[in-house]
Amino acid sequence: MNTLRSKLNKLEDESKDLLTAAISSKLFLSIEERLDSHENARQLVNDLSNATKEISAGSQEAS
Amino acid sequence: MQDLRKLLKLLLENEIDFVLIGGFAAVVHGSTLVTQDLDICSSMSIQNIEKLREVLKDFNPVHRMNRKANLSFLDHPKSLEGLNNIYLDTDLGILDILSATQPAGDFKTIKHNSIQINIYGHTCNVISIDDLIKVKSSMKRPKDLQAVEELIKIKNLP
Repeated sequence: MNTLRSKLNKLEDESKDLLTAAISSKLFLSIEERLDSHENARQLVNDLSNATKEISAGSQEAS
Repeated sequence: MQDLRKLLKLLLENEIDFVLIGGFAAVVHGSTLVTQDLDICSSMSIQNIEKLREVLKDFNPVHRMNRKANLSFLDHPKSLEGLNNIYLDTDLGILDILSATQPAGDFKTIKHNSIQINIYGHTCNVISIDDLIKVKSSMKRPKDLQAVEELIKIKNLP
């Protein structure tokens, strides 16, 4: 039980460190860089949203 | 400059063994929530990691957990055995590579349950909506809980 608690605590700390690192890396972007970043993510969202789902024997969803 | 499309294309073109998870997987299932990080669940075989290093070698992949240490993924870790998770900052954007996405399961399980989409001329494995709901439900972050609500509604759409 203690090992599991310790593992969960470690994962939580790791998650917090990642969040801090992510915020720090984006905090000093210029407005233009932020806009480019959003636009790029938007393009990927567009591509993924329009991707066709393949039908296979094991799939849980079909197009 | 960030180019997540290029990053995903590189992974697909170079046949990296992975399943798309996280926010962009939620997008595939119809979520409206935004994200700017590419998350994948991947085989952590030495072969796959070496391939990843080769694919990312021109894009300055650095471990982002301890940014100040400026450790390049190309050199660290020295040993590729028993790796769990790798969190990278690259010139193309943030790439998080997980060996498992609990409580949904390890890479083998996630891949078995995954759906396939056709994108950029390649087949891409994407975590199933059920597994994605399981994973995000176990997280405490408000944005994940919001994603869960949305994904459940999407799943229950007629």
